[in-house]
Amino acid sequence: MSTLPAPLAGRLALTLALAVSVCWTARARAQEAAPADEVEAPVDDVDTEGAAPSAARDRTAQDPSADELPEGASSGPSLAERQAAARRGQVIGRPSGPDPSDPDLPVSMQLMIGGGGIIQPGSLDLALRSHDYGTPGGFFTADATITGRAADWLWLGGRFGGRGRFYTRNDGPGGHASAFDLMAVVHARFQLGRVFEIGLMVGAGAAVVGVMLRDVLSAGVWPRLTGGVQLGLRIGRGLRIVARFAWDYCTLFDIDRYGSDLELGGPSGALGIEVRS
Amino acid sequence: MRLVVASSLALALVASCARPAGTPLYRETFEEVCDGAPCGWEQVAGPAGGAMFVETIPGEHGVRLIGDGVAISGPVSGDEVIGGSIPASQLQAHIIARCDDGAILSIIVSMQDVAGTPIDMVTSLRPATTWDGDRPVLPLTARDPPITPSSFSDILGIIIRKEGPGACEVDYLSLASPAQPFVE
Repeated sequence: MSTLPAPLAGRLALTLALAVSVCWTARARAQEAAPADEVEAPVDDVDTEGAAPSAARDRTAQDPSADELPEGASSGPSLAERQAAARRGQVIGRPSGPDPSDPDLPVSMQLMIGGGGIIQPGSLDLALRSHDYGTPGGFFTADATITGRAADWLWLGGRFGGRGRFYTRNDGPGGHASAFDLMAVVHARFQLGRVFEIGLMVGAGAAVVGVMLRDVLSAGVWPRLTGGVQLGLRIGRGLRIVARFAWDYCTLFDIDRYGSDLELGGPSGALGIEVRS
Repeated sequence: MRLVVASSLALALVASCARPAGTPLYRETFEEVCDGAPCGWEQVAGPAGGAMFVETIPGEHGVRLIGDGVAISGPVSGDEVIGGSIPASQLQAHIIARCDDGAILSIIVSMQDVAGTPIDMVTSLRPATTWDGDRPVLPLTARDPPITPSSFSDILGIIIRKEGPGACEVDYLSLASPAQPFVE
């Protein structure tokens, strides 16, 4: 058996040591560069079946299935996504921005009905009472509002509405008072999560206000103002239940030769539906 | 349970029908105009032109009396004949009116008692100067002779008289009795 010369054997040993060192260094760097969710996958994320889709694998019992959500809606990040984000020091939750389908629905129409109360009766109420009429302190309302989005939070449009009161009389026919108004409205809307929104709405315009007693109509045109808070509850794509609490100025002065005033304003509440298209 | 519901419904039905439909013994709304004056009414005292047809509030009309001593006489169509008799002491007048300060209104009701004797029942009031507030129901008392008949069977005529300064407006007048508030 022949033997290598001593200088050659020393060079081979040195080369082998260098090669082993380079391999260990490269392997360590490769492990450091690997994604965290691949090297630290949670135990519950392990697919024991091997055939389940990734979406179903990430979902928990508390999350609704995708087919239970309205079209365009999402239950937000899965539990696994939130856990992975937490390990990276990040906090993510359900989406809080506006409905992702909203940008495609820039026109809104609201149909609402409601009622309100007369806080300060007009002098016509007193005159009617002296004429043996009953003057209930409430009125009913109905209106339709169409607005278009000018900004993410600002909607501009118009409203056509009506309101009325009924008067009864002990001995004889009763009467009624009503107003039909047309107003320009400004609606500032703020989304609170994916479902709820709150808004402030103000409007100004004019109303035809009148009273009919014994089939005789007395009417006039007078300025009309409104302002209030509006709440929205999203129930589907482009569909919301809305509730409004407002204060309305709706008065007609000097309706008769005694200078009587007809009051149809005051605090009111309304409930309705909003459709976007 | 069904018996209770049925009984409640029957009771509600009876209660809703308890008030007889009809009109008071006498009622004038001054809503019809004939030749510039409320139909059937004529001025019987005071200066000429002292009574005129006016609108009190939108849709409601009445008669305006101007000047001291103006009186108007109203129609009695015969519908006021009472099928029987009612206590005269319970006769009440409901008048919806407004007067300028200091003016007084009198309502004079000519009636016939059960013996056929005519008698006048009267009430006076000083109405509010503005159209606001409730208008009270006033009792009538015998004027001449000053003895209230025990009962009456017919209304023969109505007179509204105004005394004092300014003007009065009368929108409604009715006569009724709590014992028999409506004619069948």
